[in-house]
Amino acid sequence: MKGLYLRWAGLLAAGLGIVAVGAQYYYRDVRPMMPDQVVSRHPAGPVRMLGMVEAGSLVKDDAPAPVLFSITGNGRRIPVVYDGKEADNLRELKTLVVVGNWDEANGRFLAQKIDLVPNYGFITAAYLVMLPLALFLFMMERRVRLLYNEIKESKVYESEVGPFE
Amino acid sequence: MMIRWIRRFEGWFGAAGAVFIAIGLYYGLAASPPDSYQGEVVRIMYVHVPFASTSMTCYGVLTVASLWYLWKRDPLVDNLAHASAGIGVFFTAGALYTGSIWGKPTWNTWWTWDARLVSFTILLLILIGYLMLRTFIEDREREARYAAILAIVGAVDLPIVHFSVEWWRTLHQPLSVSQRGIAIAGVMLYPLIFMSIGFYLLLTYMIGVRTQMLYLKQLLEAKRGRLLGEVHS
Repeated sequence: MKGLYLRWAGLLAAGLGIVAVGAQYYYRDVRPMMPDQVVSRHPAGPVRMLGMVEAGSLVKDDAPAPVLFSITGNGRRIPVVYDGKEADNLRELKTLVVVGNWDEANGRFLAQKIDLVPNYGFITAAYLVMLPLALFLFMMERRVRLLYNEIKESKVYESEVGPFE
Repeated sequence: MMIRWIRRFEGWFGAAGAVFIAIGLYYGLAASPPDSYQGEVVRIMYVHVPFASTSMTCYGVLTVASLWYLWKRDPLVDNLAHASAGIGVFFTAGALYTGSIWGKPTWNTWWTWDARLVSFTILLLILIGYLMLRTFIEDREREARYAAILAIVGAVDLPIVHFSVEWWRTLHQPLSVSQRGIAIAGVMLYPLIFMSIGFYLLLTYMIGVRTQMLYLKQLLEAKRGRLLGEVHS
């Protein structure tokens, strides 16, 4: 019985560890900032910025010149200079994530990459199905142990007439 | 005896399953890239596909065990069938749940009256019906016999689920890994393979544990009943 609880405690700790690492990773790298947060927080390193491509702002010259457009969100508008490989997702009025650096001096965003809007809620919800699965398995294993103990204690393996003679 | 065999080897299946699922989770959630069309949501595939394929296998085990029971009348085989139905409900419901969550961002609907989805839900209903039937009948031998027949008749749904994406025009995509070849990129195939192997091992382990549980329950009841009978006579 003790071994069972220890094993499951270890599994639980491993699961919590994965969740903790994932949450940290998510808050540090993955979670996109809104344009107003980019302006107010002055991020120094690479940033992911979420927003909508403003209508009429997209200027696509012949490649390989950088593409210019503006991203809006939370009432802020930030001009973006995108210098990366041609993005299929880049359209006006489309909500997307631009990855790059905030150029504080010129008040513009230098993007190297364009990503789709991440849907982490759906992934988390889907993977949460592991939780009831683990609980179900734990209850079954515990039940088996209890049954073995009960069989041992009630001595039903002994000759049936024995205890009652 | 089979029950001793289960007791001895099930732990290895459980441990190996945990290792494979851990590697699969790492590859699926961290190391593999997001899909260029679906984005990050594609990671739901690594849990949805193993759930779906294991639940079909689970019903296969139930069918084979039911046939075997009708042939040999071994009560332990009946326990195996009963156990795989109980586990099967869980995995089938899991496949429907993860599929529904995957459907919302990709198809923009939680549920649609699609041939694959409907036939799969029928599979879940058959399994629930099977478990209900087993609680309704008092006599153990009759319970096992009727349940086995229900399971074998219900197995008609298995090929329907499998081929529904080929026979009808469905929203659900056809098989990506089949005899026609592999229509999936390598970096996405590895986590899928690891998760699938892990889930099959986990399924084996869970069926082993549940078979043992049902067997011990019956053993205890039978022995106690015999003891009580002797006390009262």
